[in-house]
Amino acid sequence: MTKRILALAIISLHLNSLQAIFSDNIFRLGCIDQTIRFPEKQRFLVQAEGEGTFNTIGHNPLGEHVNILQIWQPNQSSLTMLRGFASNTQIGQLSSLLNTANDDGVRGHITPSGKLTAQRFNFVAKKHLPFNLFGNILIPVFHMKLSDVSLVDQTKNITFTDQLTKSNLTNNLGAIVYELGDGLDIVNGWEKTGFGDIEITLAWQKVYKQAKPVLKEVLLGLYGGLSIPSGVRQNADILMPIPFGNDGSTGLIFGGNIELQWWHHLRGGINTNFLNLFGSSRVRRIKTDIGQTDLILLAKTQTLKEWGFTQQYALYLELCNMRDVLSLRTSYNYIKHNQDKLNIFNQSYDSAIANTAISLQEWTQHSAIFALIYESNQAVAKLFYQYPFNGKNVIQSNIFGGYLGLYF
Amino acid sequence: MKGTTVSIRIRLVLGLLLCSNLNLKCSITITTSFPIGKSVFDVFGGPLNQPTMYIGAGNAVANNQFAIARVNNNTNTLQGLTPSTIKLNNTDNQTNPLCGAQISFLKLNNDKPVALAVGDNNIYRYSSIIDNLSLSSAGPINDASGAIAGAFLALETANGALSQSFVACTPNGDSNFGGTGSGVALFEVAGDNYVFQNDSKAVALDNASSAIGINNAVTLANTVELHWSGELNCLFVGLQAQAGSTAGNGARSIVVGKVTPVAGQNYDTITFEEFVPSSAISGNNQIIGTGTAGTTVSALKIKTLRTSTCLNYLIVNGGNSSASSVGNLIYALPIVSGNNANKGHLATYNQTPTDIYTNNFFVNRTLDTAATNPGDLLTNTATAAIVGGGQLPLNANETISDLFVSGDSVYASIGTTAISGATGIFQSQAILDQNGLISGWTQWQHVSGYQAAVFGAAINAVNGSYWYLTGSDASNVNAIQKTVWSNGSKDGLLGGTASDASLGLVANLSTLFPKSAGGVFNLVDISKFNLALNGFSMLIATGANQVALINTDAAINGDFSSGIANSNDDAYPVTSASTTIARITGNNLSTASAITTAHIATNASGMSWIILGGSNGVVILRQASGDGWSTPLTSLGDLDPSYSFELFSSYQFVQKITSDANYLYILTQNKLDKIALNSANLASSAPTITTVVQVGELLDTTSSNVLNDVIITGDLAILATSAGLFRTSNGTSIHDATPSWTSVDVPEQLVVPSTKLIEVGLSFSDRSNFGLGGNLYLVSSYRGLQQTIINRFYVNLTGAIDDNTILPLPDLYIKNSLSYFINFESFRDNFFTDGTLLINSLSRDVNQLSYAQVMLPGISSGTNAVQINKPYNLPLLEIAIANLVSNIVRSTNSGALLISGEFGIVVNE
Repeated sequence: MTKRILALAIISLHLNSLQAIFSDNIFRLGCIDQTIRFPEKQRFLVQAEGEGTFNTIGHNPLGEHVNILQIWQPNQSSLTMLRGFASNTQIGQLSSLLNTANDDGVRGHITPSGKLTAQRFNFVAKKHLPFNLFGNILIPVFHMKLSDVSLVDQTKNITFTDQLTKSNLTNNLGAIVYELGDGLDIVNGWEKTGFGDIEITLAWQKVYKQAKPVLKEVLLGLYGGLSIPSGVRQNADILMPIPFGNDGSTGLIFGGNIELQWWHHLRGGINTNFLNLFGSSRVRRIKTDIGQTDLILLAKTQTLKEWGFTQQYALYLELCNMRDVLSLRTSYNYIKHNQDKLNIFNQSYDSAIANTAISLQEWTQHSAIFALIYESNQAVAKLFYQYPFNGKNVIQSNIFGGYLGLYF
Repeated sequence: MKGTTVSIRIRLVLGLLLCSNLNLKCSITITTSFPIGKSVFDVFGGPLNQPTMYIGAGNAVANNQFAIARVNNNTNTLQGLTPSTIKLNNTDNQTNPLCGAQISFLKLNNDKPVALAVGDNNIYRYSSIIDNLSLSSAGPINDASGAIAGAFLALETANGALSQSFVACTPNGDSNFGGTGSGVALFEVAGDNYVFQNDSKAVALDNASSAIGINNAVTLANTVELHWSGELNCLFVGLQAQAGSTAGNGARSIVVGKVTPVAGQNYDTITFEEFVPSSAISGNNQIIGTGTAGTTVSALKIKTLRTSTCLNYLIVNGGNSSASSVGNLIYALPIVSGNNANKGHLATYNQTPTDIYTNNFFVNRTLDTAATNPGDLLTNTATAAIVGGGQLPLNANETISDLFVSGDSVYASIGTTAISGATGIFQSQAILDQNGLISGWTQWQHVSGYQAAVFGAAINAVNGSYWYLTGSDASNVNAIQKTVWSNGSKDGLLGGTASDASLGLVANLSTLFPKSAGGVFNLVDISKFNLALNGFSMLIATGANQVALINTDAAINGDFSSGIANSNDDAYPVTSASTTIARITGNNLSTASAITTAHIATNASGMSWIILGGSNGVVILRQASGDGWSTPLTSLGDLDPSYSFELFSSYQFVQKITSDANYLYILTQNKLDKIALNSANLASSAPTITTVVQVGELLDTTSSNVLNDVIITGDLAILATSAGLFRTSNGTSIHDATPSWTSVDVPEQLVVPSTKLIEVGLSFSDRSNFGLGGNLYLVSSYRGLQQTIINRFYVNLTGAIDDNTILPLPDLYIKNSLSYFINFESFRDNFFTDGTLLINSLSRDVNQLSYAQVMLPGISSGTNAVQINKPYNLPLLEIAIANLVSNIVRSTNSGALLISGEFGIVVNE
């Protein structure tokens, strides 16, 4: 019993794949399955994983399917973009020019669309330690591309202010945003490759055999560790900037899992993962007017971001031990990220307004994962398909991928 | 986000439900089966908390339970207050002495009616009017000698703890005022009793009163008017007094009464004081006094007015002659309001007021110095004194039916006159100078949209609704009408005929300027006093690629449809005198595109042109030769298809078009052009155009700044720009080859972009009059920070331009720190003022629905933000769902208030 308590008390080293805060399911749980049983005679596992996205879509605040550039608003307001600045500033002067132009929901609005593709590679090393402990390190690498960017001006050509808006703003919006937004490029897509945040965890895992007619095994696991901010950070000057990690924040990750095995071929379990990020201070784009939309924010200023808590749950059912080494698993994954908060160190701007950004609001993801898993004493492999079916304020992709791990 | 969206939708739906109900209403009429004699209006409604009009029967009608009745703003039904039995003097079920009576006088005292009835020597006051009616009486009303008075000539009441009532009465057995025994009786409420003061005798005021006569007794007529000023705690008595016949004799038409306790007694009396000392009266032109023997001075109706700069004035209908010669004259005279012995007396007109502070916060402004010398008085030719800038449009021997004040404006209603088209309600707004004193008055103009006979009127300044009494003549007044904000449906005015709303201007404009095309982009009123017009005023509605010229006079009983003339080739259509709407489209107007500015320019030769500006050009209505018309138009039928709208030069985003006798001025966002106003130049393919100023040339401006508005009057040009307010420099002229400019200091200019200039001038006839003494309302609004402030200025261009040409009004909050008049603390598109109503609007912006709102009455210097942000939102569906509210304007023809926008127009009539 003492050993058990001791073991539970020690935050075990284990791999957690919840490693990025951006609301895209490429950053998800399940890259390494914490339920895979480590062969007793093996000491190391080295694993490589690759996956790619297709049919990427967005879910807006109402949960509706939208283009990935419309997850926060169906369109972007270029008129409100100019608000919140003193009239004697460069932005304010353009705002003064357009003073009579009210945002009626159409005037000055542009509908953005684009295509996002992503690939991810995970490199994992796992060391079996005494007392059912495991030390893990995860090094993710991403490649993402935003392409086919289109900005369609919705402004009519009827009223004086329609024409004023077109002539002075939307007809040349890209260049205006670039100039007034200190280099914000909303016209072009982007492509980048780089590391994600490295994670180092300590996990404890143990299988408890059950001498019962139906229930045969209970697997328990606990883990905890750190997310190291090694990933490519958010580039505030591109459209829909996606960091390859927690955008410079160190995080505390922890969680646990329980898995039950009934008879010889059926398993079910639940995984829980939690991420608590420490605030990070850096220059970010912020809202300066409550009516602004999130993709074209002109103001950049020093901010301290307090991240919302992230929780992730996975329920799964698995047909296991088929031909002794194969398993078929179906999982339901749910992730919820609570609202983030910005603190602004600039008297010219209002934190309350900045925090009305939809991109700072809570987001959720729902998806199903279907996996074929191979487990032996020499290797572990997995092929999976992730099907996103619901969410709020998120980008979600169909993802196909797999990994191969070798024990030593 | 979802919650927010749902909330907005719910609010919208609730708003639409509310509005859809109210939208069915047009002007409201409540008729009576008996003639109405007297009326009194309670704006704030007292215990009923609703604006309420009380009426008194003009005839005795047996068992008339509506001898005194009321109608309030919500119910719109008449409620009788004179049942056959009533609780009288604390005893239930007494015979009601007012039931069936003819009410000779009716006033309100602390929101409760006080009445005198014909043939009854008592005075009655309602002590309860909410659940159970109860009445108190006092009397009989005695004259100054203690005998029952002969006749009652006036009634007035004072709110407050004592709830005083004043009755002007003649001596016992005598129906004429002035003889010994004439006076003013005083009644006060003491507990549950209504008590005759001054030992149950009227306080003497007669021919021999020293406060009236100068060096001799006078001869008073039966014209007696009482007015209580609660702010000054004074009773003003208006009289018609003829001076004695001996040289050096004189007379005064105003006496000031103050209620004072009688030493050693338990009652009060009235102490009558000279309104102005004898020493100040000289000659026979000082309005309320005459120093010429044998002449008469009259005060037929009197009111007091407190300006928005916090100074008090006495408004007098009358002047230096008998009533039969001054019935059409109304004057304004300053009153001492400082707490000294002269409070309520005539003040020296040109003194500097005293600002009153509490803890360095502005709380009031007073005039402290009483007039003592002839030079201290305004005369009957002084611009500052003549309300309306001249006579009302009725004959001198005729009388106005009512006089009332609200805000900075004076209103007079006319029911009976031999002059055609002169009936209705007329208004004049005070023009205030840099010290807060009245420097002049705007020209009389119709208000309310109703031009038939009016026998009593009031304005509900909370929502802009006019209440008025109508009838076939003064003896047969049997309808209470009130204007409402609506589509005017079937009101026989702009809302169509009594049976068909679709024939009205409102419906026709919504058809001609459909929402799908953006609606009405601007609605401009051209006064009938404009040099280009003669006898009718023109409304110009502009929109996408088109314009409509409107003659509201030509519509018969609200039928505009039968007088519509159309043209689709830029040419003026075939019209006649009965044309109501001339609607013109065409290639040139399409090139001009979104037309938002309209102006009629008249040059020194008297030739006039209509000039329109839009997002992509300027068009001028002219003949092929370039000529406009030279004979002022009497109707839309005076022009013919030889006139057409022709493109002029090349302009984009025209902000304003204006003119003077020699030049046309076109303001765009980045320059102001001056164009010689003659046929050849306007028709030239290469006209001579002088750019007066470009935006970057003004001090501290860059090419990124914007020119928003301009006013040109005489040598003076005032430019509103996104970098602030500018004017032509001292000693220069806009007509100079290269005018120079200087910035105008705007007190506490929290919002830098100056966006709109609103002029309140002496006359509607010629814009150059504005510079002769007008008020400039500067709207500084900036959507970028959700700000709008209003600053006020006095513009007085006498001689060359100098540092005193534009001076801020004394609006302030903190001691010795001039400030803005209004800070909305949010953005507004439009602002309108007529001295009483301050109306502003916002077009839909992001999640904020469009609205138009009337600001709380009584906003003045130093009014705090809490009061400013208690507006009345016009409950109109048309506005709520619109994307554009383009303008708020008064039709100078009918006086109706109009709001234009994507919906076309809505009206207050």
